[in-house]
Amino acid sequence: MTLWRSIRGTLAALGVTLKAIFRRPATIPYPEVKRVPAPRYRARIVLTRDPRGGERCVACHLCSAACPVNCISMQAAEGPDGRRYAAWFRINFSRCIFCGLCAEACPTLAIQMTPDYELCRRDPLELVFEKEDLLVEDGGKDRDYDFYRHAGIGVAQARGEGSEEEPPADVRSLLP
Amino acid sequence: MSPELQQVGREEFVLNMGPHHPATHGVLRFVLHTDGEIMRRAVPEVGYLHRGLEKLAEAHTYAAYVPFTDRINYLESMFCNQVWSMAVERLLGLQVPRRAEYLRVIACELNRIANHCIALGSIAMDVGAYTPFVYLLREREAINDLLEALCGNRLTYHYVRIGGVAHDVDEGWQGKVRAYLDHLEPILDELHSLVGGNEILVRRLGGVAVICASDAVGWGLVGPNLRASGVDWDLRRDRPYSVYPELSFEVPVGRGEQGQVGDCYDRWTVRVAEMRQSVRLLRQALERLPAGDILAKVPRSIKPPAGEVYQPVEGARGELGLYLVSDGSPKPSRAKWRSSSFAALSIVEHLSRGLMIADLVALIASLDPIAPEVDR
Repeated sequence: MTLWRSIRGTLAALGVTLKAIFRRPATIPYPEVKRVPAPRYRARIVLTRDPRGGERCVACHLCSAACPVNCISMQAAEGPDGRRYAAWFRINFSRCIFCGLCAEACPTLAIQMTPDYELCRRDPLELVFEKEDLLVEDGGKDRDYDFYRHAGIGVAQARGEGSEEEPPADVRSLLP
Repeated sequence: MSPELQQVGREEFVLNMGPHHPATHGVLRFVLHTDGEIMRRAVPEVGYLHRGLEKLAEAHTYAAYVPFTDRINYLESMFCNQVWSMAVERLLGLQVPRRAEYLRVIACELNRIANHCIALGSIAMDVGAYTPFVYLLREREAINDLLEALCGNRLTYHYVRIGGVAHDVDEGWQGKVRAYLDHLEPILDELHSLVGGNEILVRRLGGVAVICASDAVGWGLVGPNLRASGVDWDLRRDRPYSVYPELSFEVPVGRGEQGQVGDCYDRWTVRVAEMRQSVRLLRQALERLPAGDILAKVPRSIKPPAGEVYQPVEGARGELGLYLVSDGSPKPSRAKWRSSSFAALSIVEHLSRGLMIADLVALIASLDPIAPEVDR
């Protein structure tokens, strides 16, 4: 009985392994063939641009506040038209845990996660990405989105003429 | 035998297994007090992977701690996400939309199958069969691909959020899951013919390191390890949560097919049977997936009222519990994880008396502990 079980167990197993010869291989030769991850994949973080080519980031610090490991830091500055931007913007990818909370917190869709997973450097300091390393040339996931068309100060149009805005009130005329 | 040799034979030999040992499943150390091949006792030394995750909870807001729960147990991140979210929802009194509940069940059951793939593969590998591990890893990769398309990551999902889930399913994703389930069921039969009936595996696991039902309950074993000892207990059925009461499934228990109830082989078969039940649950959940929101109205700043809650879920390794204390501030006052791997390791010293060293490897593999979950 035991002998029969041993023979059957061995032969059945051999049958399975023989069948596997005719199966498509599950592996890919990695550096030559690269796997394309799902669009939702969370890897290298980028800073995107609006449809007119300007930086989307308004240095509101919401991403750095949402970051659970404090790997985002920036310095806010203001342009001549009153528009805020990041004087410098830094993400330390050796700390980043790729949770995606920064991209979810961003009100202007500036900071986005990309499926570029090849983030290895010989020197850990090279993993500290500055603004010029982070900036990309297009709008990423939503190329048509323009924060200043919806709201904000007079960058895309005169103040108060955005699609979701009312004209600014003259505070002096409201005085009794 | 000369008097000196007799003296030598009585001496206790202390042997270190680990911390870096392929059969200890992570950085885990066992101090073996042996007499030749027979062990007098094996003492697990834990703490090598302690990252202070419970203390970290006190320094982060409720929403910002969710990515950390991914790291508590990298093989069942979805359950860790879920238990944290459920505990905070209970503190807040939030009602989760039904679509989100179903999506949680789908994601969790996929995660359970992926976890059991690793568990079964490493049991087989630790007792000397390498092929099943590779085959099961291949199946797990397919689940990783599905979960990657759903959550955006392959291991640290960060999918179940407070009040619902992070993403809705894409067009065609459900069809992919159905196709995968159709593919998986024959693979489970194939796994049985590959290794389940194999004489070596049966002899290495059958009748080895038997845990009787009273021991299993007494040492606080949970999940597949408890059910393998013949105790019919599953939180999904006995302490219903989420939408599990609406779905029909069976709870497999150990029957002692190749030896005694509660041996290593039973812990193998219970896991295989659980994978089949997960497939069944997934089919039902995909069928019934209702339309609607995936995220409840969660306040921007989560400040639960002062109070405490203990929330368990049936994870892939059994009861995964979280005791959460809120003092009304945006950060938790105390979070305590009750992990199934820690309970599983505590029984090792008791069971190891008189066991062979090679059988200890089978015992550890069949208990399926994960070192990061033990130490947190």
